[in-house]
Amino acid sequence: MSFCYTSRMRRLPRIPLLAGILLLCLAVAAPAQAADPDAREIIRKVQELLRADTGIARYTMRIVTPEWQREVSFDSWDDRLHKRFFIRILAPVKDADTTWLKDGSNLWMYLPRLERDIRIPPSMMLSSWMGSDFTNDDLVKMESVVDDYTHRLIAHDADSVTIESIPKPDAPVVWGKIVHVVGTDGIPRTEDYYDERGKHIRQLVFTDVREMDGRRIPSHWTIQPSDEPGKHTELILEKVRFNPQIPVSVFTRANLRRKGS
Amino acid sequence: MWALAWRNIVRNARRSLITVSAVALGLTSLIFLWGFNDGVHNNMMRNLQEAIVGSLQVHADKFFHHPKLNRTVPDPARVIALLQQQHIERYTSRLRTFALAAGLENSEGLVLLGMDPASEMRTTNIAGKVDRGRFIKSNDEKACVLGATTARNLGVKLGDEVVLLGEDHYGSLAAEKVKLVGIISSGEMGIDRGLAIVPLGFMQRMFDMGSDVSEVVVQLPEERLEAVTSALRQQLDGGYEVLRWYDMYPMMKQWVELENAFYYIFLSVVLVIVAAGIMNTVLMSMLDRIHEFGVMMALGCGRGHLAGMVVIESLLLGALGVAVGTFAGLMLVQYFHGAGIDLSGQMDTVARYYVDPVIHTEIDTSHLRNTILAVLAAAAIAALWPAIRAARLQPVEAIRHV
Amino acid sequence: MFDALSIYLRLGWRNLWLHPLRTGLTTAALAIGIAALTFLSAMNDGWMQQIKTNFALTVTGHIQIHARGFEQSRKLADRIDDPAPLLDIVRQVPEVRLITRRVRVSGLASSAGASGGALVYGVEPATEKRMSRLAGFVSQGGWLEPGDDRGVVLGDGLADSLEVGLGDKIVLMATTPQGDIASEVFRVRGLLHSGVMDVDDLTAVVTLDAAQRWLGLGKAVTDIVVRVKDFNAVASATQQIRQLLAARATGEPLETLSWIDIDPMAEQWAEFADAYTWIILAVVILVVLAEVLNTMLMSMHERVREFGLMGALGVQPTQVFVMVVWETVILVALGSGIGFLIGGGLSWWYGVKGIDLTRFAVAFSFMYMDPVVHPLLRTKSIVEILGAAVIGALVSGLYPAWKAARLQPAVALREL
Repeated sequence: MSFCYTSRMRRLPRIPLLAGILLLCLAVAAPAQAADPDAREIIRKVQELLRADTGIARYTMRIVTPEWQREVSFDSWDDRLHKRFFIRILAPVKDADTTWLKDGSNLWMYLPRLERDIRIPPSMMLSSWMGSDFTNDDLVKMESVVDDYTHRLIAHDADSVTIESIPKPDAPVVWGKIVHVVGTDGIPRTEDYYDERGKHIRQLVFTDVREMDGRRIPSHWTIQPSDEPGKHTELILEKVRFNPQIPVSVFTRANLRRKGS
Repeated sequence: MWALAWRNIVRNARRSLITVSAVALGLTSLIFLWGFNDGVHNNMMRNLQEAIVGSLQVHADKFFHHPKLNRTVPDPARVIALLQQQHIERYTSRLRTFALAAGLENSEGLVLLGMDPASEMRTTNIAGKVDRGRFIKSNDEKACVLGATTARNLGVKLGDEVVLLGEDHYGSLAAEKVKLVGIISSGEMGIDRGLAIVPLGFMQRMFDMGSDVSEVVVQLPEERLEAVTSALRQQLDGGYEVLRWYDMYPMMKQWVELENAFYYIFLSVVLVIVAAGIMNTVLMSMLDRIHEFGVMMALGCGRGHLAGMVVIESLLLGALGVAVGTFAGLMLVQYFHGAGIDLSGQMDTVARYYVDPVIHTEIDTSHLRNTILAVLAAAAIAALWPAIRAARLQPVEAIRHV
Repeated sequence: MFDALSIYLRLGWRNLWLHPLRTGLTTAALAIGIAALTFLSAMNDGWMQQIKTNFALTVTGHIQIHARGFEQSRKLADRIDDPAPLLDIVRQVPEVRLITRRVRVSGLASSAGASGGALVYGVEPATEKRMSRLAGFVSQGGWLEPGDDRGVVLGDGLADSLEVGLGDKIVLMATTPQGDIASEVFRVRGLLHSGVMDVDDLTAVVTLDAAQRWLGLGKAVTDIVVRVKDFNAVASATQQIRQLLAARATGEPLETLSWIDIDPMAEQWAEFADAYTWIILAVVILVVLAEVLNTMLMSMHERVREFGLMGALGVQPTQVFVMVVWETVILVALGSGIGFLIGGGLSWWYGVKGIDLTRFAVAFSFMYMDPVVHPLLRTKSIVEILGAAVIGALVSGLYPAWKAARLQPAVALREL
């Protein structure tokens, strides 16, 4: 029995967890049937363009709010098949060489300034991360976008098509509707997210198409939440290698303390 | 008639004494029971406020239900100026956020509270709850106080280092190593588990918060709470929320209300016993006097007169009983207010967090008033029936009555 | 001896009825006292029961069975893979009244606009409704229907921070025992409000089947929750279940915990509340005894002349003493008999009907604590309290008897 102070205490703290971003970028697609084969095929190709089983990449994330803005650069090693990843912060300087390692259900973090590695409880792996506008949903749910939605072509003009994706009733997604605009070249331009009541929640804009590791992909992504004008998050893909061989030694606790090159 | 009634009372000193003592004893016990009940309850509510919550907290609007680091009190200086205007001295400011605390192998999510040791000790008793080590000393030291359960979960001892990890004002990583200087085992789960206390100045720097605070905590005497709350609410319009302790943690108040309701019923039953006792004594003394009444009537005393005399007698006895009972009851409450009733044998740790093992009785004015009125009413009603009986006596039979 | 006894009995009886009003008054005083004590003791026991019920049966239940270590770790890794044979074993314990299964896991709830930490319960809707008060807390919409594997009931605080209402969609995410993140979509069927922030801000209730499918648990559960006959049966039932489960040939190691083991503070708090009401009850017993003594003294005072007369007529003081004692015995027997019937009747009546305390309290919402007290007649308390009162009344009858026996006839006769 406790009368008072316990509540408000067991919320999950927000721990800066960069990891999920990778999943967002390197989303996986899988075959399935859909209402509009053309629309579905377009979405599938978009996913295929960005997918990879493994990846090594360098990102810069920029969080912009009316009061302040902030940038983080990091390298990531991602092995989706073995459910593990490794992240190293490059900038800002005060956080440089802070590292994360996820292997199966364990997550560690290393703080070079304090010379300590910390095991993060599994329950906290789900908590939201940093001041960014990416939600936890992005972490796990982008991967099945082809299967979880029914896709329908609703408009097209000379250089783009517009596809409306409605989640299937049992699909574990929070959205009510996503509207994709994809260029005729197969490169995504925007995605608009709505809730079930038709309220616009956020927009994802893809720009800066570049040739990277043999693929032409948008390298600059911006997420703009609609209820917080003036605030947005940008993710810039500096360089990437799709499906490389990643040495097993990357995903070890010893690697946490190693300095970046 | 009053004089006659009074003479009757004095003449039958023994009988009067029994009646008066019946009323007095009943009332004394009722007052004492309320004193005990109110003493425990006030103690519980006071302890809750004194421990950490305070009587009143001022936050940025909606902070309590949606606490975020950046939702800070818009203008703490203004809040404090208002408090000083009202001559309130016991107040303190805190910063609050969620963080991860890590020992060598384990980590745990918790609430991180930044406290200014000097004003905190003036305002609450949290420093007194530290039972191993000490409370934080300066406003800037790299030190923390943890609850016993959290310290155990993290596997840290006094003097060990604890890593605190959170997200600062700008969403970037805030991490510091602090020394564990004190451990609280209060018995209250919400404090023993999931709470870390660090110096306010240190925490403001760690989270890049400047001089911002999340809450201003005010300690007030019970009788000033409502007035100060409404004054603050009026002056701090928009952007603030002013919450009393029971707006934030209503459980205790509910418990007290519920228990009071229970004792109202409980003590009304006791009141029935007391009333029955009074009625009984008055009736008995009536029986005793049937012969006397007969003689009086034979001597030409009217029925109405007789009935009036009985009522006045009973009322006088009742009033005397109430006076004695109130006096004795209050004396008892007063005595145990000072001396206390030691219940330490019955109490374990939790209870001790909420209730001191030595109960100091005190009585709520409304409880006192209601009880006295109820006993007076019982005495008056108890007087009616004997009066009616007296008025209906047949003189001849009455005189013959043994 | 028997003759003497019957003479005194008859004499006492006749004496009492010589003065019907006086006897009636004394009996009434006793009866009211005893009735009140019986009722108060029943109320006290009902109140204690109530406090324990509020503590134990809000969510916890009387007894819980987990895989060993779950209470400490709260991880799905510590789970009961096949609860069915365990349920059969638990059912063998005669005190067991209700069994339900649960999956408990902490995770994350998200809506399109927001997300927040959640403590998810996978429950069997029908039995859970009778086990805990969760279903009773539903303030909007309804409780889960059996088989509604897409429904979720949310704490209103959680719903508020997710910015969702009835019919809206949420996604629950949690880590499976294999370390994967699993998510599942649910629709809000009901909102619950308990008044306890821990419950209101964190709880999400889904069906057991849905939770098992979502987390890939198969038939596995984390809790088997048991309700027994009453609180007194908890200790012995826990012991029996422990023994029966220990005697099992196969299966994972288990832990069997009573509500006291799970929340020792609740038990301590209940004990304090018990000590507290006993102090009050003790004072009430004193009051009752004092009133009885008072009445006895009064009636004795009135009879001084009568005793004097008897003494003058040559009745021995011991005979007067024995006579008065027997009168007292008859009075006490009569008074307490009637009193007990009235008090017991009242307790029984209100035990069925319940006493709603909200009517006696200021307007306040009692969510966590059920404000209806059902007085409860417990043999132990009745014997203790009635025993104290009857013995007290008899003792207070001895003093007048002793005084009566010592009266000087001449002095007594002179008194008016």
